[in-house]
Amino acid sequence: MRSRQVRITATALLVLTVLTGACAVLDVRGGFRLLLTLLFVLFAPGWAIANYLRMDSPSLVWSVSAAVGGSVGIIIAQIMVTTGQWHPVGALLLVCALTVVPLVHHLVRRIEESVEESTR
Amino acid sequence: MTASAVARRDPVVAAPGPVRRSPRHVSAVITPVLALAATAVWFAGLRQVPPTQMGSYGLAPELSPVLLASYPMLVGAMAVELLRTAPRPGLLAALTALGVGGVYGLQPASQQIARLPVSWLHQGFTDYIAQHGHALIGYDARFSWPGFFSLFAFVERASGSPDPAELLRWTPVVIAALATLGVRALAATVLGDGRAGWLATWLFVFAEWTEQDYFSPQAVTYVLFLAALALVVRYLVRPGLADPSPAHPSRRLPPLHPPRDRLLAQALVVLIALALAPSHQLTPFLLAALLFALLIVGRLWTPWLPVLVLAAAVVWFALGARDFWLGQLSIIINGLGDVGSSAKGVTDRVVGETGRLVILGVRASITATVFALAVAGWCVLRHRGVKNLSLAMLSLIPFAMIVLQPYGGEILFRCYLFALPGLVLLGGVAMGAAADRMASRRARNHSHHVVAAACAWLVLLALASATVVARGGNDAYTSMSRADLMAAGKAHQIAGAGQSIDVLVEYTPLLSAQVGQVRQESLTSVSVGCPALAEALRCVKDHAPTYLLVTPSQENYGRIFDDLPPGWTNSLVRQLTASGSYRVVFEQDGSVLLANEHSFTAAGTR
Repeated sequence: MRSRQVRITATALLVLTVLTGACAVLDVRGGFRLLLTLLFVLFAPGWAIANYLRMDSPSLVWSVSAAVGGSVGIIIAQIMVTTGQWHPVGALLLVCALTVVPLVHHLVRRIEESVEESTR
Repeated sequence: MTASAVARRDPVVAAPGPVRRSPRHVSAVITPVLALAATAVWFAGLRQVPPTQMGSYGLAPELSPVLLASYPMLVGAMAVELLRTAPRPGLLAALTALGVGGVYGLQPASQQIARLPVSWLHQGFTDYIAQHGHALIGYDARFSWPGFFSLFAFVERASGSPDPAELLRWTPVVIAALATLGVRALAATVLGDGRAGWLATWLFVFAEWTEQDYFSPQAVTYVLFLAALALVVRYLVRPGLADPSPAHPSRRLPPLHPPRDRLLAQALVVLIALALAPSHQLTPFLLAALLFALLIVGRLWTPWLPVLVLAAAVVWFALGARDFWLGQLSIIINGLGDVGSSAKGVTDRVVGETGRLVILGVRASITATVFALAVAGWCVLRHRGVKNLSLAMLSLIPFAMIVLQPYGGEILFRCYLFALPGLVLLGGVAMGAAADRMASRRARNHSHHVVAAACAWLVLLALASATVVARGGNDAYTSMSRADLMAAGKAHQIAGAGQSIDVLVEYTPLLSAQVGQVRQESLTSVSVGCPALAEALRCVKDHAPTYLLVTPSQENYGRIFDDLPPGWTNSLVRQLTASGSYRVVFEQDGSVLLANEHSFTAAGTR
């Protein structure tokens, strides 16, 4: 992804992350919160991690982001179930906090080389 | 070499038809106009179709002709755009999104609640974990692979536990969109950004009739599987799958990407494998098998990756799914190589009214068409000097599951689903070759262009129409109404511990709550053992459930599969109430909840 696209996406996902966390803290009710949480779990952590991989195709970016986000969600949820430490809201807030770090990093870092250069 | 050049480094496959921007021709407006018109017509023709309106042909005959007219228009827009000298990637992507919405959004948009009883059962499992924080071990084999249920229990609880009905209803569209992204990523890597890659993507969108995209572990793990495969093919494979360069297992070449990207890609595949292991019993093993196959033909650069993927699946099977295999080890071992059970499962499905048989024929025709296109693509590749087996292996290895799993007839659905990415890549090669050839003649001969557009339009339209028909073919009994959900909710509300809620056949949203707390079963299930729906009255009297849920979907099932007369469920309800053994406690739009008078009186009115 180009540097401008990366910054726009990182900003949008940062807003999504903050909104999801805020809804969980304020215990906002309604289907809107489910949609927000689903979008967050599916895309924010996955994109934040996967975007360190230089990808030029939007389909690959979003396919991998959703898969990585879903995988992170499954692993965290399964750890809670297996260990008997079932704290979904706390876990969500932790994931939100951990996701903010790479998202902010994507916002401030200089994309040093373009995708084309990466394969030279 | 640039990254896009790496993706398109095979000139044999992807050379013709580069996708460029800045259209200047008047015809540039045809595609967006057709696409907008198709969208407008689709929404204008959309209407609700309850199960009471459907017969053995399912949803398709009940759809408005206005809505049906949108598919030729959309496919027309695809054909016109693809055969332009310079197809526009943004428009091609938008057309793909419209295709996904048109095919996979049709049932959620035209039906009141999520279809398929299994999706509601999975919601029941999710609900159990959300409430208790652990799986219900020993209740169902699926709880031995609870990753998917844990994920959605986590999301639901972290969202304040809202009503998940809309989530279930729209899941097929989301899953289909994500799966299409995965296939598109694979196609762009293997076939390049030209016409073949887009045709492969559209073949996937228009040929996925298996309906495994409902709220289920296999749907989510399929998305993960495709992304892992796309990552591997993009970053860890050299030479490419459609590259004519020879490859040797003993002299594997490092991919052209920087070591940092290769390392991160491997880490992400391992992360996905760790999530797949506790989530589904088949998918991680299949991913490992495909990676081993790529390793054996010398294309996969990292030999330890398939070992790690397999290790994660085996460790979960041995430790996490211990309760499953301790109780059923003999079934697992005896099932190995039991192809007969799969064959029997297929023949058992070929029953019912004419409409049902026609739908089965449509499914078989789609499958045969996709295979024929794949064979044609294989021949094109051979003709171009591509002699490696990678794409054929991607298409054929999933069928090994028939030998390994005693899954009955449904295993063939799964085999086709997992083979589909490989099949459509080959099909895309065949159709792309024809499209490129015709488009290149366009400047010389306008008639060739018209013929090419007509051929592409016909093949895609035939597949799209057949898939719409096939996907909705079972909807007379697999779709449900809001009244059914309310009747099931009423049953959950009034049933207490030790009581039972029965249905005639499983096609209701019954198991969406109180899993493991209230006995909920079908009269025709193995545990109750009613031999046929024609004997439902006797079975209800013998089994005497506390509550009995009767819905129009069950009425349709009895008519289609058991040749029962129209109104047989009404007659059953009348006989049960007239005998004084049951009384109606809920009734709306044909959905009836009956309560056993004896149990009801004994328990007091709740």
